[in-house]
Amino acid sequence: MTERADAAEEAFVDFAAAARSRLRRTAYLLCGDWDRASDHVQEALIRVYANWPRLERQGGELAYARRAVVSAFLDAARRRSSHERPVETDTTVASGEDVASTVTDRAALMAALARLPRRQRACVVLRYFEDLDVRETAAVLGCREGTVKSQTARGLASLRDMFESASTDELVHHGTRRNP
Amino acid sequence: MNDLGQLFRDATVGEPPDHLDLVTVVRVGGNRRRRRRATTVVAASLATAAVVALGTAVVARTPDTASTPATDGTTGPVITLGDAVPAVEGTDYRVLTTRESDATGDERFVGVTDDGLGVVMHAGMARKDVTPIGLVDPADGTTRWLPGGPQRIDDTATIALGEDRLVFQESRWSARQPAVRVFDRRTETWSTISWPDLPRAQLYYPTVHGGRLYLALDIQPSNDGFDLWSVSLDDSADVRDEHRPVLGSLDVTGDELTWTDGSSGEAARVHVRDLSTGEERSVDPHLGEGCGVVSMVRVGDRLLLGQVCGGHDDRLQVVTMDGHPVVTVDDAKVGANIGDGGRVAVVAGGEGGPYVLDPVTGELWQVGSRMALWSSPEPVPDGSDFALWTTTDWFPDGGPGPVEPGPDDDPTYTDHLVEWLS
Repeated sequence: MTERADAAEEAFVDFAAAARSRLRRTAYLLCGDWDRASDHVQEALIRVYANWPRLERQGGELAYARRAVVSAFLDAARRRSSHERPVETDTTVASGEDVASTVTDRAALMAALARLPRRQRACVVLRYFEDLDVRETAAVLGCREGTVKSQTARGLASLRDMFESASTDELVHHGTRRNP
Repeated sequence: MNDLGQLFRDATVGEPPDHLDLVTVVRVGGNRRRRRRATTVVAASLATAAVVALGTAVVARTPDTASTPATDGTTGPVITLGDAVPAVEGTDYRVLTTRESDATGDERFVGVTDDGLGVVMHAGMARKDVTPIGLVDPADGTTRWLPGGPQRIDDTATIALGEDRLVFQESRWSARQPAVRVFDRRTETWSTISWPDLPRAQLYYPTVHGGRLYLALDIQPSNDGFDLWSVSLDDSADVRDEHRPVLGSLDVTGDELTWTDGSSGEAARVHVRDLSTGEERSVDPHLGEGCGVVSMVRVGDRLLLGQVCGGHDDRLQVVTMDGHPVVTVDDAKVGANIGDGGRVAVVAGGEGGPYVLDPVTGELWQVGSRMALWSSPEPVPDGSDFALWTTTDWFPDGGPGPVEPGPDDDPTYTDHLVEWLS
């Protein structure tokens, strides 16, 4: 291996060591399982390393890795041929604060997330955990900014409805199945 | 706990140790990079050989054209229409408004504007070569007919429905006299523009971007493909040869022009040009053996490639813009024609249709229990939540799906303007 290749590999390992924990937490919120989250992060980092020379030149390593995690999650969900049924939604726009005020239980939160359609779940997690704005979220998901707005609004409205209309016990019961 | 972000952060506290092996990551990632580089060299050699063998006037790609084939040659998950799950109205989608039409006319949708208004034509009058055009507000379902009266436009050829203007093929559109009819939404006036300097040739795939109309011209009918040209919608003297061969289909999404260069039985590649910088790259979608691309739509960073394989078996292949397979719907009933725009695509009709695909997640829904038409998809804004489909109460005797009604038949069609929710 050349000196230049060594340096590139070292830079990638430094990046991976610094980013892996945050990426894994994002993956966990998407899939609801720490082991599966590790699998998604590993696949994402493989994709990052395969594109590392270009990413080093152009920058945006973390954004690419984040996108790769979401893509790995969606790919895995597709392979499982699962299809989650969302609850009846109210498209009234709800804020993140509205939802938070009604949620006090971690298991209930994860159960409610699991009941969101995958795209809505990704929008809510990227907006409120990764703290991405609408434009950045649209770039990660490869969709229009308007879609991010509508999907986030529906996701938040569904979360709010779930916590208003169902008991925490019921949500936890529904959430015992693993997410895709 | 005062916001959702804090809840998410709390939910991830106590993360158990992971077993991520960075040595494995580097080894597998390095292998993928080397395999891709090798594939690129082979693909470039094959492309060069193909150009030489054809001996045509195909223009060479620019030197900065990058090649980005998939890291593997699989199709990804392969599903059929039987794998679709039932869509639930109110949860997966919401019907915003409908329009009925029968043998005597009434309205039908021909697309959705970029600012979210339905566009309708008067179906009965369209058969007489002139038709009024109306804009439908989905909020209340009302139609506002545009000033200027019935227009002489092709009732099956909506080109662009922007916030500034609506562009339709003129009904006399032909190789000898291509012209479009334009409605300026600011001044509410109609005008016609044509281009005397455009080569006389059959025209395909008209698509608009940034005030220009892109066209595939069949200048050399003996060749398998077309040549890409563009014309200005404001200046009839502004005609440009884009010096690119097009064999399959072309699409403009955002600032990027996407087109295919393969025909039936050939290993087509997909090319992408950034219209703001001129930079180009290409993607190998890894078509199935003997499959030819007959339609292509780009939705965000997904390519939907309608294919005919072996002369009769249709399939729809979805790949990312890096060439990674997403999903393949392999079913004789899947449509070669794909609706333009929308973040979901209507991919099949027939009894029990329509079938709707999300090209990002690969999810496939079966929407209805009636007969649905899908063979004439109409444009909706790129990446939007809108979808359009048509159902009919008409079932031809013994036929598997809708065919042209006979003179004694009296079918009723219902156009649905839909907001997709899931």
